[in-house]
Amino acid sequence: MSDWSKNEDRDISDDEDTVEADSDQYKSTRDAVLFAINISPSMLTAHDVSEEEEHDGGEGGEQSSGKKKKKASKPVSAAKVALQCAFQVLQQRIISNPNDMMGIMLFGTEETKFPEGSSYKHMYMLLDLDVPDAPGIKQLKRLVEDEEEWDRICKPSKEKASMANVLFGANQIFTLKAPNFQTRRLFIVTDDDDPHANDPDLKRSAITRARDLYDLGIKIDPFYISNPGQKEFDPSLFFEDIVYRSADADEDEAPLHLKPTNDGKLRLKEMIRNINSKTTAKRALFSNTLEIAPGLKIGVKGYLLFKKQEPQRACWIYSRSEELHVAKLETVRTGATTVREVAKTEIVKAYKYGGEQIVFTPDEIANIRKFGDPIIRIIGFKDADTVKVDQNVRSATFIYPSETEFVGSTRTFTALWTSLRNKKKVGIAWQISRRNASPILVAMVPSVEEIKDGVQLAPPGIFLVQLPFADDVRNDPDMGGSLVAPNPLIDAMRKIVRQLHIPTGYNPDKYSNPALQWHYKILQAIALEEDVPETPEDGTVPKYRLIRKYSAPQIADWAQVLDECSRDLGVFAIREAPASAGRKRATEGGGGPAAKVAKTDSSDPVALETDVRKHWEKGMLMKLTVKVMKEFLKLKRVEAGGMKKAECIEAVEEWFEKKG
Amino acid sequence: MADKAATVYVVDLGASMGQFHSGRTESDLDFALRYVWDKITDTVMNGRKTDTVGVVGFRTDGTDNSLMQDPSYQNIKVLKPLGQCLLPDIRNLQKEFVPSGTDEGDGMSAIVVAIDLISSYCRHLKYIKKIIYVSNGTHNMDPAGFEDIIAQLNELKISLTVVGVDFDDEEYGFKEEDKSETKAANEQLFKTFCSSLTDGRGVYATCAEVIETLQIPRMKQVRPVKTFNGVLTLGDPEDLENSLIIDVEQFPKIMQAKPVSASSFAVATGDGVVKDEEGDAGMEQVRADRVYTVEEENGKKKEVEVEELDRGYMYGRAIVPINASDREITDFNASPGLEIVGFIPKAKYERYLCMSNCTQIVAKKDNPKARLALSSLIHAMYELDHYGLGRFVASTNTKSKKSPVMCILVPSISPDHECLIKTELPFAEDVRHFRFPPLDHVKTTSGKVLTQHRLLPTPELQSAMDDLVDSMDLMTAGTDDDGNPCEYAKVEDVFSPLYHRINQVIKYRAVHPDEPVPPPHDILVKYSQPPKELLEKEDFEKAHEAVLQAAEVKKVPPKQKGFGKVREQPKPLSGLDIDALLNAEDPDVQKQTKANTVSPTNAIPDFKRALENGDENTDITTLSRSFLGVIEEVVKESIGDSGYERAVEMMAVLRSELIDYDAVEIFNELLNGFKKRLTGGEFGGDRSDFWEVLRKKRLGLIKESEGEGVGVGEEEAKAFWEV
Repeated sequence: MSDWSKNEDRDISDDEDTVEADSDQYKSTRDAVLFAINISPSMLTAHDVSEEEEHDGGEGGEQSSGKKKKKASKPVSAAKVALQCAFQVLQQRIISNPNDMMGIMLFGTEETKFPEGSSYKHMYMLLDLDVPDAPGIKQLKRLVEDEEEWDRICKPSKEKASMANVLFGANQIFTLKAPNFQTRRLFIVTDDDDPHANDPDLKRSAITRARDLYDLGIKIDPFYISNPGQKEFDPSLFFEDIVYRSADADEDEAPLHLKPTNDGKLRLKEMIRNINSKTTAKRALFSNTLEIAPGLKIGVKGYLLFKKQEPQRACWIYSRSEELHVAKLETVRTGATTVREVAKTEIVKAYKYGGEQIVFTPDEIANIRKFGDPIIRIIGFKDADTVKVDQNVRSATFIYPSETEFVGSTRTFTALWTSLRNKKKVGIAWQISRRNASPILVAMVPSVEEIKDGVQLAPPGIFLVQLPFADDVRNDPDMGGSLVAPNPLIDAMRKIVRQLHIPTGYNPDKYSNPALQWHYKILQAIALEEDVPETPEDGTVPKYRLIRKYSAPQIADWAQVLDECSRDLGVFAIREAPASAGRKRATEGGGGPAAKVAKTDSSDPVALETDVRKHWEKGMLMKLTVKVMKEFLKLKRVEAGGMKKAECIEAVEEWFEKKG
Repeated sequence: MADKAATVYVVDLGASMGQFHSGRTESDLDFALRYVWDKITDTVMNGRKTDTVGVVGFRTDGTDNSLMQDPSYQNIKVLKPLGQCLLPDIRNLQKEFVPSGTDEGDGMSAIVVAIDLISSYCRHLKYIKKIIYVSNGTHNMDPAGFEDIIAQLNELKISLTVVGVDFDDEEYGFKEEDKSETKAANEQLFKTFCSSLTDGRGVYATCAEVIETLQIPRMKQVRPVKTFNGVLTLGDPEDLENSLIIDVEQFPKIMQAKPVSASSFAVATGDGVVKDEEGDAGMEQVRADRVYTVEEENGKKKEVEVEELDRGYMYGRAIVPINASDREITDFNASPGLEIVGFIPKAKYERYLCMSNCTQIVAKKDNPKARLALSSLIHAMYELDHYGLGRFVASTNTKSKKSPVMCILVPSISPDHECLIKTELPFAEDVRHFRFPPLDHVKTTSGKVLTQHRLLPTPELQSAMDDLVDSMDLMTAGTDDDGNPCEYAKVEDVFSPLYHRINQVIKYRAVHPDEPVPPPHDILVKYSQPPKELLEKEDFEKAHEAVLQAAEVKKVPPKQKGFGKVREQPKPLSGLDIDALLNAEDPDVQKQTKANTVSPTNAIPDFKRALENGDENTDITTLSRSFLGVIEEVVKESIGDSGYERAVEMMAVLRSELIDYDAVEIFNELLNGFKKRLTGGEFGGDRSDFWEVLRKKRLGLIKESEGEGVGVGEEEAKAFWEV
């Protein structure tokens, strides 16, 4: 499709994080998802929806004690929710997986509409399996929004659709429309746990057809729905005979099962969340060997769990024919002087040096870049707090054990993971993530599983955080000496920080990328010939009202202290500040040189300082605990993060030597 | 940094430099030149015009310098006047750097020549001025005017580094036995000389020591460049009364040092050094020309000009053209600035959420009030153990179209510098919610939770692993400058292997154009292994042994081949024996298995199933031929390349299954036939493009390496692709 935009002339080292692992080198790295949604009277029965509140209160403790939005939701049927959900997934995938396919078929409908023929009775192909196009999206949108349309299409048939037909129909669709895709998944959404209870032949036939899908590498992901007030869905009656799971340790576990709340309501949000999280095909970035110590190798797979999602690049469009066409870009290598086309085999790499080119053959280049085979080799362990936040290079990768190469990998990995967590340690490893990748050092940071509402927020495993090399650390800008705020000002600021704290931390799921969404919203409107929206939504803007409500007096206090402090210290701005900046707070016009201000000592716990000083004078710092020294250092604003006792003593001595 | 520099190398080229000493297999000159070359090629690598180099040789056969009228300046040659050093200069110097036939010529005078070079080149301008003197000190020196020279060096602020071959150096721990009196006197002279220079500008070192330090990479100094200039706000920027606003700037903190990039040249044969942009020696720069094509209704490609094309985007499969006048319609116009959304407890922040390289936020340097303000924020956050959650919109970056990003702001305080470290955080769209099973327990399909399982560590393994982690601790495995234990592999100690490796080979090749590429410096691969000392410790050995015992990790054995061995029968979650069920009751399946055919609509499952249920009597050839027939039909029916992926999928199954069932020859024979028919035009015209697809997907003849000894050799497999 529009892969061409990625087809730029790039250095091998550049795209380390964009190439997915080529376990099946002949497969195209695309994904196809086909929804099969059961349309039966029970699936169409409307149920009350449970009021699922956001438990953690979102923004800020004190901030959020205000009101919560309450939406009175209308009763809704499972089939409708499934389709709404499919529509959402569709829109998401256009952004996140622009080359991947999706399709929706309904089964159990009165009307039969199936590309493979009318023998597929009571099956209705709603959205062809393909990269979604405008008419398809429009039709789906209408179905979800328009009641009449809904009633027309979603009319249940008197007899059930044959599950064998559903499965074989899916087989044909995948085979023809999504051949050779790396992942192909069939999502069956149903509340019918035994579709052919009275017909063993049909049941056996369905089991056979399910096995065909397995042989084709098509994964069935069923989504069981237990209806409120009905007997719970029993997967063992039929579905466990058609669903296969590989024995691989990193595979997902059980199929999804949506159960009603105790008071008989549908968990709408959970359904949407679950389906959403299932639709991303789990692809490994690399398979590699983790060498914990010499001779102790286990298998791991690497995943990229955080990757910046950018809008797809613009393309070139040819509009001088009947239909619009996207132009494909090909690069042709030509000689700059001879203007002849150059074959790949003729090309050598050269580096500019001393005004000339130093040439290497392709073999030499390969040899120069090679630092050995792919490996993640632990060279030792460090305290967890040595992995500072100011040393980040790029997003971390995640590793999880795999038994494919080495039996026993999972238990060994788990033992390591447990040790790291218990001891608050990280592994330091030399990593060559794949063939020809340049070596890096990584810190292995264990993560603990965190599940909320059935969604795994944090996975159990180990994150590999790339450590910078000495060459990657830039010098600090020259500030001409430090200028430290006096304590009263810091104290005033502390009050503000306290007022505005968000106790739950940062949850990415709460912050949608406004620019990305806006980009696609505009494109969607143009593509579907709808009105172009005028103002974008932006959930990243701070909650000004709440900030004012909770911290305006504190900010005023702080500003006053700042004014006093700068007066006392004889501080004047040298240059006029830009118009927007600090008309009030930060700057004031005026002349005169900047004064260097020495920090005044904290008058707080005098006792602590006296005590430490006494020990220092006697040369008895060894007697103090690390905690006391760290407290002291903190008081004196000396970074004491990962310090060992010896380092603490040194730092304390240094401080006294300086300050006397 | 980007200060101008003038460095003059004063190199002893006397006949005695050609001798071999101290058991070395290279001459004194070659030994000393290792240092000189490294320094010079390093300077060239930087490629800065203002980083100038001059070279003076002494004890040379001839004389060539500006002071040569004076008899005491004989046998001193200016080999390269001060100026940028380029590759031709290197080649020239290589010719000049050979031991002469004389030992006449005075080093002291050579230093005077160097001073003269520098003072006339730099005049009153600001330069970093340096003389590097290299000699084995075996000749008679004339100490006359010694004081004057020192005075001159001091006055001109020229630093002098004396590097002597086999000079004694107590600090480094080198002492040459049987030293001649002349040499001993010379060494003493230089020691005095160097220590007489003010501000530590005199350095005396023995050659072995400086050579040892050569492989420590030199880091490129980059001047901090401002990447944002604006305000940090807390509260509504429109509501000045109730908001906090600070003038701030942003600078990079971590920026990956990228290795120098190579450019492509087309060359008929050979390697070596070629001239730039002149297409010398049959070399010319390679350009990537862009060609745009569109596919017409008949599946043919048509080349189009850029001028004929409009800009646009894809929405799914829908093409969305954007008029030139609407170019900005999808842009998001947020106002630039750094806003604080709230404060997050440090303990609630996961390190792995950091998405980008770090930058630092500082207050404007010349705005003391802003500096006090930011300082109070930094300290308050630090004292309360909180990080800031920020929203950042870059000021002038047109690329990001004024898009907001979320970021974490971390207070950083050191004795002489304070800042907020800023790193991007993921948005909802940036997170992939892959689900991973728990590690510390196993849940059975029936929902039972197990704490003992082959996937879980035994208590023995866990305790052994705990010991192993302890025994490989790096917190005290390093040694600091004073010889005390310290953290091993600190950021400042570890250099980018690839970055310096490429510099290393370029420099080497520039001086040794005909030699093979040298292995990487030890320091570049030092951190690829645990420190040796650690592995030799007893507690490591004990823990290591215990983990190996308890973990029992085994490599998965290679796949079994042949009928009934290839794989376990796949079973659905219920564990139902599908094959038994099917074979017993489904007459279709049995019929098909017997007939050794596959149906076109369900070819892959049919083929796999027939093999799985087969036995020694199964006719693999017939079965495979039937399958291949389906593949050929798909290729034949394909409109353009529409059916190719499907054919590839089946071909891949055919190939891998026949490897598994030990039928390599059958596949290779079938593929031979397939190729004949394809090239014979039997699949609906010219299908050479499909052949190209197979080649790209590496679905050719099965090689010996894949078929465990059965199959064709590499060469034959490669040749097979030729049509």
